[in-house]
Amino acid sequence: MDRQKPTDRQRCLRISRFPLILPYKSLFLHFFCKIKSLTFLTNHKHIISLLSSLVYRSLIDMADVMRPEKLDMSNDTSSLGSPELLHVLAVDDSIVDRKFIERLLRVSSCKVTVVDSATRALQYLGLDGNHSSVGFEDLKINLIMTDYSMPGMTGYELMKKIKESSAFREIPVVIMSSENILPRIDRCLEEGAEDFLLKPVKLADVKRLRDSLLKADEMAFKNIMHKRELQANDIYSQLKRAKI
Amino acid sequence: MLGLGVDRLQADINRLLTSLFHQGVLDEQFLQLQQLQDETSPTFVYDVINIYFDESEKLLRSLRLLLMDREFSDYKKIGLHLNQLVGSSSSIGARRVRNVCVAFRSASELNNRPGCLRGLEVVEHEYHYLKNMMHELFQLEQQRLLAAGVRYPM
Repeated sequence: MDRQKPTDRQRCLRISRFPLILPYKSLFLHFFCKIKSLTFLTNHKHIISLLSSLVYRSLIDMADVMRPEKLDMSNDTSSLGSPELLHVLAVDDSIVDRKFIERLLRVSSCKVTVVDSATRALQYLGLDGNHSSVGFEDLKINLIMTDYSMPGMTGYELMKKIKESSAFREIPVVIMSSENILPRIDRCLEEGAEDFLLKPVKLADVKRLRDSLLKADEMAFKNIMHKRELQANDIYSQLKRAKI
Repeated sequence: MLGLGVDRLQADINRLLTSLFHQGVLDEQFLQLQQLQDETSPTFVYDVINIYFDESEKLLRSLRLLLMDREFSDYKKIGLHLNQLVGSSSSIGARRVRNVCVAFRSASELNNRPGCLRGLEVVEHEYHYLKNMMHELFQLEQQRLLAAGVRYPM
């Protein structure tokens, strides 16, 4: 055979890539230990190793079946899916600005939904109290950009409502305003705004926003992989301690 | 001959734009608008500017009606209309219109009625100047497209 047999450590790494396995890792360790302990009962070590390989194989197959498709990390480099399809919800009461921001975002390879008021934005997100959360689980918004000064509810109030909701509080909210009022900017940033853009918004602003969001996502991905690595090491060291 | 037509028209367009930038009628935001126009949205600048014209004329009419009323006192409403005008003018790069709207807004904040009337006149003047210039620009662009079309027959 040309292919090298995987080491135990490599095996552990492979197991750890299946996130659903981790709650059951004690179960797998139990299996491994039981099998290895059979070496005390027989001298036929090659039979034992064959048996353990078989059990290991079937555990891997089981894990494979349980693995959720969405978390196939081999091709996906970001939780956004394809980086081009950043879905932005834009909120502005000015029709000129809506036309402008929509084009700006389209040119920047974003999917855009534009609404003319904060109330409509809440309706779209299903946060207006008239809808149950059913049907909005598939709504994948990656960014919300809202004008500050709007009749009725301001962009600031809209952002507060979004941050109050468990479904959408993680979505970055950017506030846009034609007025350079420092206390206003501070207040927005303190309330959790991702950024505050002075109007007129430029292509460079959107590009900078996109880059920082994708970078944040890349960091999150790296953290997940690092965590996986640590969990794999954990399994491996437990195996070693059990003198396998 | 036809080639010269296209080049001459392009030169006219460039001269007009340079003059408008020089006068401060337009600023670099207008260039942003042009950057957003391409084959997938070939009339973007034309479309946005027309939307701007529609909106602005509605606001200007409303402002005139408010101020013409002898018993006028709703300066706050004037302020709101002007905020919209300032915002949309700056979004398309109409710098001079934006600036005179800001001056008008200051007068409204002081509840100064004669100041507001003067402010409105100045805004209307600047707005109409911009509109005429944009119409001239669009006409030149249209002519250039036609000239280019004739030059490259299908």
